Amino acid sequence: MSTAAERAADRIRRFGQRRPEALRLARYASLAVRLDAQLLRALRLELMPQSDAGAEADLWFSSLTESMSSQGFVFDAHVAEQLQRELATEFVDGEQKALNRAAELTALAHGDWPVSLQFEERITWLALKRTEGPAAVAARKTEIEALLRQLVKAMAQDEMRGVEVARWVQRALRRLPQVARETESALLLALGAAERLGGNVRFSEVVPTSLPQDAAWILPARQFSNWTTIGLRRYLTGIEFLEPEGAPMTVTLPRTNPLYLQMSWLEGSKQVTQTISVAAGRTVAIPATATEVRLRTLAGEELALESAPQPTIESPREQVVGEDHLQRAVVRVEFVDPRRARFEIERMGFFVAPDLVVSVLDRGDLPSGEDLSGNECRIVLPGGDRIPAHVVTSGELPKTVVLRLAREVSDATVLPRSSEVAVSVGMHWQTVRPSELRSDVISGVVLDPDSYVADKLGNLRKDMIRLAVSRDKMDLDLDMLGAPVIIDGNIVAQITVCDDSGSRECFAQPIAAIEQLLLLHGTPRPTEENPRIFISYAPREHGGGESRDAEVMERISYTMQVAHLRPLFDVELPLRSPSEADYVAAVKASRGGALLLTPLSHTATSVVEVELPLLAYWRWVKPDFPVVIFRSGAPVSQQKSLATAVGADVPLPANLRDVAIIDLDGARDLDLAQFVHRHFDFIRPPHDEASGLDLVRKQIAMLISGHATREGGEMAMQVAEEHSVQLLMSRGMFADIAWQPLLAQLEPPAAVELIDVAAAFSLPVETHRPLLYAAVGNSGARIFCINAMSENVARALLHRAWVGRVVPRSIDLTNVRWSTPTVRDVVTHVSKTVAEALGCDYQLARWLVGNAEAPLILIFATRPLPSQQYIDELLAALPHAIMLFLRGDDPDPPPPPVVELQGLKEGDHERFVTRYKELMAMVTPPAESMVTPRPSSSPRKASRPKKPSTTKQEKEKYAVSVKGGKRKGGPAARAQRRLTKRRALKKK
Amino acid sequence: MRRANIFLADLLQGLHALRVTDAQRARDVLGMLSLDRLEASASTSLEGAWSPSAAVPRGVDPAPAETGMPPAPPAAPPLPVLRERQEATLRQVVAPSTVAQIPSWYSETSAAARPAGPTPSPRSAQPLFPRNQTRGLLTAALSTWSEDGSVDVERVVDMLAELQPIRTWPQQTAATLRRGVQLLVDVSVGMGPFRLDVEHMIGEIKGVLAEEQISALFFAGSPKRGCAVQGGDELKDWQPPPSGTRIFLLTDLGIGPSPDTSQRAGEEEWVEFGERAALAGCSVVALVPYGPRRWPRALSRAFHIIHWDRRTTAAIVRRSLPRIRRSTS
Repeated sequence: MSTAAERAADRIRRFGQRRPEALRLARYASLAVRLDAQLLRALRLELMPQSDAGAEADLWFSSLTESMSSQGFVFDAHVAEQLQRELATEFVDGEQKALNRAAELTALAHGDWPVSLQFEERITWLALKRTEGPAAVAARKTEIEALLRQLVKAMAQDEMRGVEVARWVQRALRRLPQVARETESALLLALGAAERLGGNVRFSEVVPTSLPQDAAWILPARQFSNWTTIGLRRYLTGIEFLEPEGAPMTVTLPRTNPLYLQMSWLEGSKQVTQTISVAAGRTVAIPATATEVRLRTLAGEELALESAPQPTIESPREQVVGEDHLQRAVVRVEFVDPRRARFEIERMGFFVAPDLVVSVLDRGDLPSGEDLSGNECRIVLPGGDRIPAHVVTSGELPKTVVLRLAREVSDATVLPRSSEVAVSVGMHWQTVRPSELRSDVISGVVLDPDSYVADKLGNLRKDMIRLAVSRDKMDLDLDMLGAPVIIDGNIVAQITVCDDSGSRECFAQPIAAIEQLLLLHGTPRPTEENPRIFISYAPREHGGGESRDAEVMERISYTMQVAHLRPLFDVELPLRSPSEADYVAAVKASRGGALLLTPLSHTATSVVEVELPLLAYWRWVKPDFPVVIFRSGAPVSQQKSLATAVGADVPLPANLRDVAIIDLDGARDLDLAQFVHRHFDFIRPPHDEASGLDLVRKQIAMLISGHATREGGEMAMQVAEEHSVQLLMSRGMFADIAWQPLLAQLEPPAAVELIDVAAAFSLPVETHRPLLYAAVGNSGARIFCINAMSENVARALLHRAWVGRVVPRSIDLTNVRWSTPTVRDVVTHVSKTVAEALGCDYQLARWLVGNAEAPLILIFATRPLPSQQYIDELLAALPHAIMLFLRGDDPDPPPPPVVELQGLKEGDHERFVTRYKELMAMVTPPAESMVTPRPSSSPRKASRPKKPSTTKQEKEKYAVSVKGGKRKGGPAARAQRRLTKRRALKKK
Repeated sequence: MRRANIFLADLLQGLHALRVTDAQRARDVLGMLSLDRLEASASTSLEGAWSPSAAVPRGVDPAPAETGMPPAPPAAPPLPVLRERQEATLRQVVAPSTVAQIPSWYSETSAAARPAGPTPSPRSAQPLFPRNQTRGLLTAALSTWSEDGSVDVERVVDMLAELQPIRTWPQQTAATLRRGVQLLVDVSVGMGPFRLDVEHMIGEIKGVLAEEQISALFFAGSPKRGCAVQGGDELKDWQPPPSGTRIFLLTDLGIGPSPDTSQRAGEEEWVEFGERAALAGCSVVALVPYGPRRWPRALSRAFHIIHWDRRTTAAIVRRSLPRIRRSTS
């Protein structure tokens, strides 16, 4: 929610979900300046005879109001505007019957009100009326102007009356419809009110086309008393307004808020006039061909803006758009559906310049022959900000459109593609060449997807895509260097070789999806998606208590938005009866969760049985998935022990019982903000490998420097400073650094953590690459294998793929024989593990494993690989799990769709395992290592939690361990626990 | 105090205007805009990819434009990108006017009339019961049952046939208003929207019963919290009327979404009130403007609720009378 209007729309939508009849009544009542019982009753009985009086009270006490008393209430201005718009779209038999009848009833009920208020209601109705034909539109404007003129005259005629009208203007001006605000009379009223009330009137941003010839007569003293100066600078295509100091030109004009200036010019023989509100920093476009540019102030002064002829400076738009200048991003674009006049078409767009976006529309989006040029649209930045844009060029179908933004976006980057696009001969490609006035779409076909060419320096460039340009398009030239090549809605290449000799062919360098990802590493991008937080509230229809809860929801919502989070309450799910799949999707799209516990909440059992387990499951699988509880309205007795009360009221899953709770009734806004900040602040922006590497870099530096507590700590610092970090990240455990003294100086948990981090960087960089796709959710593959048997290799690969992030929870299935367990056994075991962890029943756990789209990891250590049928069944039975098979030296190729990670070379596996053991042996100082740190082959086995298998038979089938998450601190903490346990044993 | 929202656009504009290229300066800008969260992760967030998951699942995005109903708001005009600065001068063509000139339409327009007084408040609204039904409806709702009718001949014959002595003449049961009514009026904030209806209803009751048959008391929340007589400020404990008298409530039973939750009485409080009335031998009838779907179930059992709505008729109320008679007896 970025604007007040959008917040109002959201409030209306939420209110409508709870009280649809009251919302309908609100629409009919929205014409009134103030609502009272008489009017509400008349509207309800006449227009909604089937409803009862409850709708009146629901509206009276709703969150849509700005103020309320025993006599009546007033709608919030933005809410009223939105409701009026909705009322105006209600057509029956092609007529606005509801609007007209509501207006009649309103006028009837308020017949004895002051004329200013009656005029206000009538003007609102007139503005909302759909009139056809220029004559009818003109007549409507004339009537509005005539009504306002009566008030202007009343203001000017009498001093006392003038102040009365001014007070009305102060309130009414911001509520009047746009068509009324842009009249000359509205401007005069605003001027008169500002002067009479001491300038305490904010004028409308919407202004009349032309200023009145003279406006001073409306002022009490018949002349302006306050003046100001603003600077301006002329460009070929417009004017920039700036502070007067140092400006090449200045204009003195009456001090109003905002400042008004009328501009006019000639385009050929046609005179164009517009009034603008000006301020320093504002720019106004004037066509380059315009002549006779004139400015006129409210005081009647008229100035001619005369340009001195001079050589023009080459526009940046006309310079080469090469790699250095090209800034790109993928953004959402919202187009107006011409049939419904709403922003309903949503497509992906690509930045090709800071203020240009290319998008592609499908055939079905538009009526045939529709030309979009000039149409309004907007792009949506990841934070939710919308930037207005308009279509400057509309190409062929499938329609490629070029959008010019209202302002430049300086930090645009490229979104990695979801998959590789296979380029083949004959495919259509498109690109755009930005130019000063229009941006040309160039298209053609692929001649050869795998070509070679000699560039101007004579270097032979291989693997190029050879492109042909359509005959009817303009020629290529050097400006096209670096331009993106769009195929199937994706940027797949960049034009790198072309010339201006009239050739109709060029060559493009392919950009792999992963390269796009890596391209971003050095690109400044101070933006991020505002993470979504799913909030479970789940009320049932009740006797009005939702109104109170609505305030609580509003408070949470506001606080989260301030913290750059996007709250999504379950009651906001757009469907009337959301299915389980809707909840699954909503939680999946969230980066955290929360529970709003009130006396009303969680009374809908069916919802609670889905939402809470989903949140619990995600929190279990992804330990970095934060969940908190907001509590409100608890009786005093319960507030003494919130945790107990929560357990008593709502059947919380086991791992949600210890989450942080805040009692909203006692918490100040600041407390709430800090709570939200504390628990959700660590949610990182969307991940990429580079940011993860940076985090790991810091982690290593902190481990070395921060934990060097013993003698020689300075040495550790020195090691850190001597770029050992980079060495460690490039060669991992095999880095040529002084491991022995380094590990000896660290606390054991830090030392173990350091070894684990190093292990992640000890395998060839290509090995983990396919897993990286899975880690960023950018791959369809989710079953992998590698020619290793050590569980530590699997851990290292996972840590490397999820670099900088918490690896999702994994379940190990080792020494599995593929005749047993069956796929069903595996699923049963996974489900039982989940059931045990969450404290839920098996059936629910089974549902979660099969439906909740959390990336649970299964590690199988086995050889040979199971059959394809087994794997297919496994994939079907666990549709969201990521699986990694350690298959040892099994020589047979893996069956599809298993992705084989690049194999370790002969001896690499043994080297890895041996080195890991060596380093772990260095962790515990000899004096303390009375018990050998790693009695088994893997140092981790000593710290494995108790096997969750429940039956003896199951235990015999396979050995299982669960990793990650709940037990704090990962490897370091595990090592600490291990040491503590051993010391205890030693004492015994 | 809530600070003004700072949006991504502000940050972008700031970074663009300041030509920020290095991370340190970017951090400074973030700090100055109080974007602490971004600042805290500046070193990482400055180098990142937009997550593929940024493509929000259908139907989850709360953006208003996707909700369907509201049409697109008028978009702000796009700001132009200016190119090619030029030298220019301003030349005065017309000087500012020194004498105010009143436009021609001024003389042809009549001034908006001055209001005679403050904006009047409505004195009446269309009643919630149909006018032609109100009297019958009230009669049915306020009547109690007693053996005041004519001689019950059948019972007399039976008694004679059984050779029983006739000490008192058995009489037929009939609805009567002679016991009067205790009228309890809820004046809490939640009844604000129905203030005119309450006033109207009191007038109608006075048309059905004599003044001395009506004992009107006013309360906020529930009568158990104390009642006052009309025009009186002093709250007194509620006392049930003599046995057999009808208690007639004009209230929302705390169902309404009133902002003043302290005034709202809970179900338990109302149930206790009903039990106390029943102990005193009085039946309670409540006139409630909210529909039956919103009546708390416990209260529907505790006393008789009539929906204060156009669809309620005297016949509907009368049909439920036997139940009241039983409870009275």
